[in-house]
Amino acid sequence: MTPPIEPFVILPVSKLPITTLCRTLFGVLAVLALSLSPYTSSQAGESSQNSDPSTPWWQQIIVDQLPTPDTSVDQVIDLFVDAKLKRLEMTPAPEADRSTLLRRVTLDLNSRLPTPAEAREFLSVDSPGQHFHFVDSRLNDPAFDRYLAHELNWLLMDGQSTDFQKYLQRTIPEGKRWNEIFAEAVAGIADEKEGEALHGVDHFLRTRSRDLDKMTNDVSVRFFGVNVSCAQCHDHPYVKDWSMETYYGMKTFFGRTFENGGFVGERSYGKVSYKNQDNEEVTAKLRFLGGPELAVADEITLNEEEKKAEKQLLDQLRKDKKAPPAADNSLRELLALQGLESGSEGEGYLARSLVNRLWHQYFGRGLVMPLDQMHGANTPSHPELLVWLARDLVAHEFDIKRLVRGMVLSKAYRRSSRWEHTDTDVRRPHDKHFATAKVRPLNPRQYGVALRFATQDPGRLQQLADQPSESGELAKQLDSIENGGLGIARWFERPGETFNVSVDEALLLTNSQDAQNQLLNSGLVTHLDSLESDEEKIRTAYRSTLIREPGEEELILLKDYLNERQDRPKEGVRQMVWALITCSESRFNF
Amino acid sequence: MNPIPLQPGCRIADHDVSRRAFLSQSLAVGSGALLGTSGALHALDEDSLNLTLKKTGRSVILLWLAGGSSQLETWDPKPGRPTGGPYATIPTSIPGIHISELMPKMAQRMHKISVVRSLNTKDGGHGTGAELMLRGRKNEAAIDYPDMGAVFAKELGRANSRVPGYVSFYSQSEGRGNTRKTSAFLGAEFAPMNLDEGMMPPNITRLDDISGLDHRERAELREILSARFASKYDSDSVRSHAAAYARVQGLMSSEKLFDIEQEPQAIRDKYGPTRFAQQALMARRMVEEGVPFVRVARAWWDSHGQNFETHAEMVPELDHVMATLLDDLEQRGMLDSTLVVAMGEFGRTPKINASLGRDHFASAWSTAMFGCGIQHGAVFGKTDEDGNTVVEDEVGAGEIFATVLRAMGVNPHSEYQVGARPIPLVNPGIRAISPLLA
Repeated sequence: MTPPIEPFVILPVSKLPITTLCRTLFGVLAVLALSLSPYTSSQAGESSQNSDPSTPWWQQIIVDQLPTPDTSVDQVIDLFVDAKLKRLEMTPAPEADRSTLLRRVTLDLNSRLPTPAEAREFLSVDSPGQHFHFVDSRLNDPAFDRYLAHELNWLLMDGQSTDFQKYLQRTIPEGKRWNEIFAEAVAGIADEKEGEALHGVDHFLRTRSRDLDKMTNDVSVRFFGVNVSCAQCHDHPYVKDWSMETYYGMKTFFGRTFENGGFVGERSYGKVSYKNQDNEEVTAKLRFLGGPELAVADEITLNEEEKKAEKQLLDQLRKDKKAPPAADNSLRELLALQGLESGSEGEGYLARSLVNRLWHQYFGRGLVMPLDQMHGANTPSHPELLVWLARDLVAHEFDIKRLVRGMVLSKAYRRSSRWEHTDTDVRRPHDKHFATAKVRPLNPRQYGVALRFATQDPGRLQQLADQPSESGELAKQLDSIENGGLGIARWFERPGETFNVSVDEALLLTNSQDAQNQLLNSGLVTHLDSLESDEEKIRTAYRSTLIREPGEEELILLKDYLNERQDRPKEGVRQMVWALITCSESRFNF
Repeated sequence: MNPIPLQPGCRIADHDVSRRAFLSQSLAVGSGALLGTSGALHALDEDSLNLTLKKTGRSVILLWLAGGSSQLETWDPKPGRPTGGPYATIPTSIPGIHISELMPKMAQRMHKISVVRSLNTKDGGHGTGAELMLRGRKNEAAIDYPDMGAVFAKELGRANSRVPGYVSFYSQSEGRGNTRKTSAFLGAEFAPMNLDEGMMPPNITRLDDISGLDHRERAELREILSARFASKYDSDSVRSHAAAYARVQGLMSSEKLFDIEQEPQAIRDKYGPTRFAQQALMARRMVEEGVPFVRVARAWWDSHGQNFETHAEMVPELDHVMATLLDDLEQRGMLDSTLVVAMGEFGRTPKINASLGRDHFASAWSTAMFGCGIQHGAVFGKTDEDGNTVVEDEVGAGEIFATVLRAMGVNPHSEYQVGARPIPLVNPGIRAISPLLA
């Protein structure tokens, strides 16, 4: 069930021949980065020697020896990723070309394609500062917050609750911390009116209130990155910490939770019991993910009359469509505190899991895989890096933007996803080394919005871009394109860890009237029809759809294609656009 | 996600619910069943071989009796008992075995099919019952399982097949939603082509405003552009993108497959004019062309009131459709490669309620199957004299699922790898009902 534990050893850079280090520019930068930092990788070597399988991997890392907290996120990422590549004697792929980076960053941060004006500006200046500048502009675009809320709603709600997504959309730009979102979700106390701060937050529990096992496991998986469901029926075969005690200790937080007329309530009494592996009935003790037993206020017992009164009250509340009263000594509140308390285990789990999820989002693979097995025995590919990033996230009040910015600015993120090597025997390095970027299928939102963007009239977008930004016309148009794209997103399946494109998607984009109306009876096609030469049509179509210039061979191929359709030029253009927006280059982020 | 083959070759201990009980019953009922028994023993010796050889060109047709048909008005009548209802029983082609008089055609073909009378599936909810019966288990808090159709689409489907791997007919709306979550972690590639209205799948026909030639050449242009990309940026997902588009022309060329007019009128007449019957005929057409799994849903059997009127109307149709399908498959030599299963999410209460209805009942009900890998003339399990409880050879949804997998040559104990977790096709400890296996 669990991948074998890989000891993490970073060969001390000081022991490498200096010529090896300096052979490439990359090596030089690595040395520079190291010299900037008080952290030396010989110290990382020490930490690995302390490894003890009974101690979670994160406790084996000597935090004082990590780069200081004021080091920039992208530098730390490259320090650790590059050091490991060096140790493995792997040469990473070079930086991706600029138009690829432009497309990658815009899709990743704003879930759309760049506009022609953005592309021109980005590609006209070739300096390292341009990438920083562009990343910041995409992070500061409100589309970043909207897309982040959308992705977090997938993480927590499988994308299913619009009310919860609205809650995220309201709170994320206000700077609500991730551990506060966690606390509010498990507390489950919502504002009644739409638009108020906590409206919708209760949907996290409401959708799970009929199955407390699901509630227990979902909170563990989605917030803490640990899937404890195996331990529901047996002690985990490989992970010492995951016993039935762990599972039912966690379930105890939800043991008093119930549903009443669509609202989630919590009683002030009640225990969770289970049959252990010796088939003995055991009362679970309140424990956070296998930690020490937590104190619970003395159990209340209700007499018959009190039980009757409670039932009557709940019946009445159900009729009145009102939430049950808050519990005295709420156990879920105790859970919320586990995430809020500074320096707590819960805070650590929350931070590590969020870092890993976001890393997975931008790199196509987590530092820990699978994403729901972030237990103490499953060592990450880059343990020190994950610990440093989690610590940095906590130190900066769970500032997601800061973390994402660091990831996207790193050299590791900016690498080409293409693996070329003069020696064909040198195979593409495993994804876990981040020596190349990963080719990732677009998610439905990205592909839907991208298709909508690609098929806009580029002339119109240019006109809007030429207006002073205070007019807000361009921003309004971009929002409207995004909304249109969300409709198209419904055509597609959300990719899982391994993803095969379905034939339904291919059939739909090939033959559906709706797809034809939305994508081919579009502004782009009309604009192309108005252009004089075939070459101009081809170049414009490429810029709109693939965000690059066509190669020479492509130009010849498409000129031939259009030329063969001289008697029906409009059809020719539509077919060219169709081929461009459905080809693999449009379907993937690479 | 690839299945990890386990040790091939289950042996007797591995797959027996109750061989002894079955033998005693088949000895009592005569030669048809006896013949089958020796077949079953023979099959056991060859089991490991079967697992590798059996799969090609095999298909399953699931007649999904949505809402829950009554076992008392079909396979397990209780004449003369307070629970029996108004219908008589009739003898079948297996001496000593009787079924409801509403099924005269299947009664004549009883020696060609197998019936299980001892299902106790413990779940009387439409949604949860359907989830259970279609997967052989319930989804867990941490994982949803793929349904039978998705599993067979994966296990029996051919890469780059021009036909879909899983087709589902579900024309009535009642209970349709209960069958909709299908392929789970196997992904959309193995999700059904849903034919809810009409028989023609969506997006299979070229739009009028593009000529056939342009349609093809446009696809070729797309392929060239994609191939240029794939030569630089190769991955499994990128390859699946090419594969999905490569199937488009094939599926479009199988447009005739979905056109019932292509069947001779005589055949269509044999099946009869009802929608269920015509869809069963379509299922046969599809199986003939290599579709691994077709579900034909017939709703809505949920007879809380007027159970006997409902069944008087629906059972004879089921009887006719099953019998015609059986004869048709047999005449075409397809019975050895096609498994037909008739079941719903549960049965109905023996107790007749005040509205002369029968309610949901999952404690003692029946299912029937015939064809590929299935014993001829086996009647497995027994309920008490009123049909309230199973008294012999109780089995659940898992055993039915495992049996169907085995019959099709798929090892139920093989596994899918989902993240770090191996997921066996059936839950641990679940075994096929070997007396039903040919």
